[in-house]
Amino acid sequence: MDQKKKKTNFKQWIPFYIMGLPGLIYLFINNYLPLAGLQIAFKTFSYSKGMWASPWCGLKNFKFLFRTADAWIMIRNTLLYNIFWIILGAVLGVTAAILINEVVGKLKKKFYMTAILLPYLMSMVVIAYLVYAYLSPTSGLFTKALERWIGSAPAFYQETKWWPLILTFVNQWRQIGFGMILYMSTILGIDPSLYEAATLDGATRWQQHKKITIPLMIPTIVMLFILSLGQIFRSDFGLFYQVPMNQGALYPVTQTIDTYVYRALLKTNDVGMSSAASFVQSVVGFIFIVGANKVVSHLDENSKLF
Amino acid sequence: MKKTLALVLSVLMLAALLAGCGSSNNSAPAEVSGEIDKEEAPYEVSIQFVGLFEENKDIAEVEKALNAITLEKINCTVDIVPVFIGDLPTTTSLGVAGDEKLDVVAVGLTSPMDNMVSQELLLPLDDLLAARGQDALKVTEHVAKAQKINGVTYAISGYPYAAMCGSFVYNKTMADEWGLDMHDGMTIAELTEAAKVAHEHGVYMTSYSNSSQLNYKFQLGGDYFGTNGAFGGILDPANSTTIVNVFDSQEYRDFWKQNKDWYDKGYTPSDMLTDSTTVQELFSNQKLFGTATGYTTNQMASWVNPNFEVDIIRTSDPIISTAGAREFMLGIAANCKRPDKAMDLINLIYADPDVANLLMYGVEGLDYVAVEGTQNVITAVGTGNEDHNGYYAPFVHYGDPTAIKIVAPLTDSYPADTKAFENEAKMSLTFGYDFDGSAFSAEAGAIASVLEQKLPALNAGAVADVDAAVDELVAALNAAGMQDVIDANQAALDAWLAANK
Amino acid sequence: MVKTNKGWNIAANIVMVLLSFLALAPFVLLIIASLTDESVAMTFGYSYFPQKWSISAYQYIASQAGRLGRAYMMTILVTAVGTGVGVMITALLGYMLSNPALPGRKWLNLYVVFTMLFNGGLVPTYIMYVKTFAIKNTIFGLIVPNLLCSAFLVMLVRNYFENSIPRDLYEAARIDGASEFQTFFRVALPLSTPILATIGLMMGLAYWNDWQNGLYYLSDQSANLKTIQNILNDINTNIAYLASNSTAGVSVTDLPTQTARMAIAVVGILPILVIYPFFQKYFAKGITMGAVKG
Repeated sequence: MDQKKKKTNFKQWIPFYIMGLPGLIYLFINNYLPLAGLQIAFKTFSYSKGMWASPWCGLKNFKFLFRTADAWIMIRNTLLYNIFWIILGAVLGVTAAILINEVVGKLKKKFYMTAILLPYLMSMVVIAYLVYAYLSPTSGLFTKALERWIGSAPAFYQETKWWPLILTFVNQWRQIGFGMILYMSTILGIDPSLYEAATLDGATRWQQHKKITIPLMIPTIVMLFILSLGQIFRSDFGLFYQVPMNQGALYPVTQTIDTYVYRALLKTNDVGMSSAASFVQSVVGFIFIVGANKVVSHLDENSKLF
Repeated sequence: MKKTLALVLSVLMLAALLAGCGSSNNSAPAEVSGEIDKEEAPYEVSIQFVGLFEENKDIAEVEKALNAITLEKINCTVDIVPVFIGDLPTTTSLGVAGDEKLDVVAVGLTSPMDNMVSQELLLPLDDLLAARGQDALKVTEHVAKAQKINGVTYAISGYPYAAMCGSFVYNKTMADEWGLDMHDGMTIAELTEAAKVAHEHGVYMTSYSNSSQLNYKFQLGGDYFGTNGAFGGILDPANSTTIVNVFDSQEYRDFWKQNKDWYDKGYTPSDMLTDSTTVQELFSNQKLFGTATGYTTNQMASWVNPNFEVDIIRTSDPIISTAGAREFMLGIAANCKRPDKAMDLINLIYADPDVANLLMYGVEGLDYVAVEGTQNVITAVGTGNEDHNGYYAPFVHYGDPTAIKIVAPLTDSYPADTKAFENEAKMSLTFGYDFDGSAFSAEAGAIASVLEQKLPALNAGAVADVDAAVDELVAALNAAGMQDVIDANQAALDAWLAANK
Repeated sequence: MVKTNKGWNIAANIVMVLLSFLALAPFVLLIIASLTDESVAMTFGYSYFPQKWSISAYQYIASQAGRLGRAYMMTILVTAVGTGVGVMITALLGYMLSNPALPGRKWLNLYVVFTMLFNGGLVPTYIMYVKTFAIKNTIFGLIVPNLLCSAFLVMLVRNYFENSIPRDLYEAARIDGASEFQTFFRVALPLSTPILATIGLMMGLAYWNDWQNGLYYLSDQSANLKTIQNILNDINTNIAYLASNSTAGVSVTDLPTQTARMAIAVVGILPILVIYPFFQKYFAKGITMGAVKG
């Protein structure tokens, strides 16, 4: 009897597994099979021998990450920018999503959404040129305006103190359209009858958002938060490399793990060493994601990722 | 059921993958004969043709003309494979990794020979050269040492005239207008005088754009190890074998002080560190008087401009260095199926100027015409190839440059000039030596990062105090382990010198 | 949302106008920069009111790429096929994972999330795709690698199916005798247009902007498969080499280096701007869940 029940139970799930199968197979091929390449991080890679026959070299490929005196600076920068931006991105994204839903008028909405997504469509190289067009010491539109208004303008590309602000601005400016759409899809999925009921109860708009919109968005917010933690040791290379125009004087606030790896391997193009760096980033991300998931599952069973 | 099937399928795919990766690509024949087999079906030899984005629409014509020669002489056909220069390093390495058809590959340029050798992308050539590459050996004889790494030849120099010296290329129209006397061997003080005149006319003397490239090397010469001298360098390579941290030398301090002097006086653009406009663009737009560059006998051709006259002065003595001989080379890919045929083609390029001419310039009449009144000078002007859309090989050199045709504005005196310049040049005492830095890859990475950070500002002269900045740079380099590398480099060089006496 | 609120509407409009301005101002500058005369741009930098206008950047692009039209078609084809297939695969996988009672769900979730963290790197991926699946120089090389299905989007869909659609709707369908597939296509999909539009947009943008697959999986022999981003990327690199490499032996006098870069960005972005507003109706569609429920 018991056995039979289990069997029918399993049968009941078969259609679900079939649905998931194409995706699972794709991820297996695209992501799991190449994982054999992780061994490159521990090998002296030879293209003609291939990764299996290349000789092992222990942890030699990892050494360059810690050989620099600035290892601490780049780790600090990577972590601090990421943590701050994850939080700020969520706050701004949720706010923008709630606000765009309050806009009356189809055409207006379309216009705002198209306009705000624009920065997300530009490549970092182009953004870097645009930022330079505003902040250039000789011909910058913003520097010239400052000179007119207050008589002088700072040398942006030489002073570190501006860059946490500039990088944060550029990052959020570029991402906000993307975040807005992400969170908006969740808001659109909220059952309108909930709001109707609240209105009948005499709740103000503010209270409705506080009591209905935001609580219902929590699972999405938490999920995106945990997923971002997986990337905590990585950084948007273009943002940190292109936008500050690769200025040496700004390294104390612009050097991240990715830019260091790029600069160190720029000329040698060493596959083993870049794999090693990526391996470290993955392991740290994995630890963070599993840890965050543990914490979240204690707080709210529904929001955990796995 | 389906899941099981999928699982089985996945395991099968995994097995296929493992098998694919496990198989060895090394299929070089153990013994190489010198005979060309005329009976077999002609093998198609592919040869990389590094170029620009242009379509090269005449490639089929060039191949046809080439095949007429190669079928008869070496019983093979030629497949010219255009590779966009931006893709060159990935194309070759991924091609070997994926075991795609590759025979003759470009070495040098964006993928230096020592990198390619340490990644095992190239076949050793000595046996092949001995058996079927006599003509190639003869033409490249005097740079043969630079074609070897640890005693094994991996590539053949495509441009075996390796002499180079520092030089300053300048806008002659401006100089004449201002009454400036520009001459070979000008000192820094004389150049500074010229800079002052240029400044008075509202033109920058030069620009050290935002890169950690060593401009010193172009202005004053020297022999460098590793990228940008990361493994040290020899400042007077014709007379010395002492490797130093060049950044800690008095010569460099003086060079940077001069740059700061020019920067402070406004002889160089104040925003050159952030402005991405290249020196070439500024020069062409007549915003610069001139720029430091490496001098070779064909260098002038790179700078000609329809709007003004250009001239070049030499600022240091010519030197033949390992790096110079390795700039343009031909090698055979590690996964090449018929290294013997690839070598036949390489050899024919050196033996038959017609083959080299076809590869370099395309088909006569279609891609270029002879310049009237000259023996060997050609031009693309007046042909369908004027816009370089037909056939255009700006990044490669094939064959003996003194035996093949030359493009205007070079003249018929070019072969003699080139040979004379080569003879005049002193051989670097370390010619043929190269440091194997693979044991120091961690240090190399850290050093490269420091140089990226601190060199551009010093080169531009955009620092408050040169001495303080240099001290900081040297301290950071030592923290990254540069002195250890230099010591190891010196020890290896001394051993090499003793062995090569 | 049901009723509109005047105060919120005004506040929202103010913020949105501000955000739109911040986004549009640099974009307008981008367009103007692409139409600025190169030497003016070099001397005075970019400005909203350039002293001299020029279309030479666009002329240069046009002259360099007779293949531009074909490349646009390729991009549209790849984007449409890739996004269509990708959204389907992603939605199905997300739907499976969204069922809280699914046996092994925890491990399947981890299986999916894990792919976001670790990757084998370019070389092993390339070897596998080229040697085992032989996709080099085929259109599959543009569609299959790395873009078809990402863990991030799967999680997004899973989350939506799990939290925004009441489970009793599925139960009701099942009681009515619908098969699991019918439930998915007739109940789940129609109710999830906002999230499908979202992941469709993200995937579409990823395909539209992708040039790396083309770089690795196409060689010059298959130049007619190149997408617009490949062509633009080639032109871009080409200019950089021409302008900075004296060995090229090309006069750079009339090369619109900087402005061409801007023009390239415009050429890449404009089609999206044309298509995107039509696409947006899927975001605006109010969910009629109440009706289904009632």
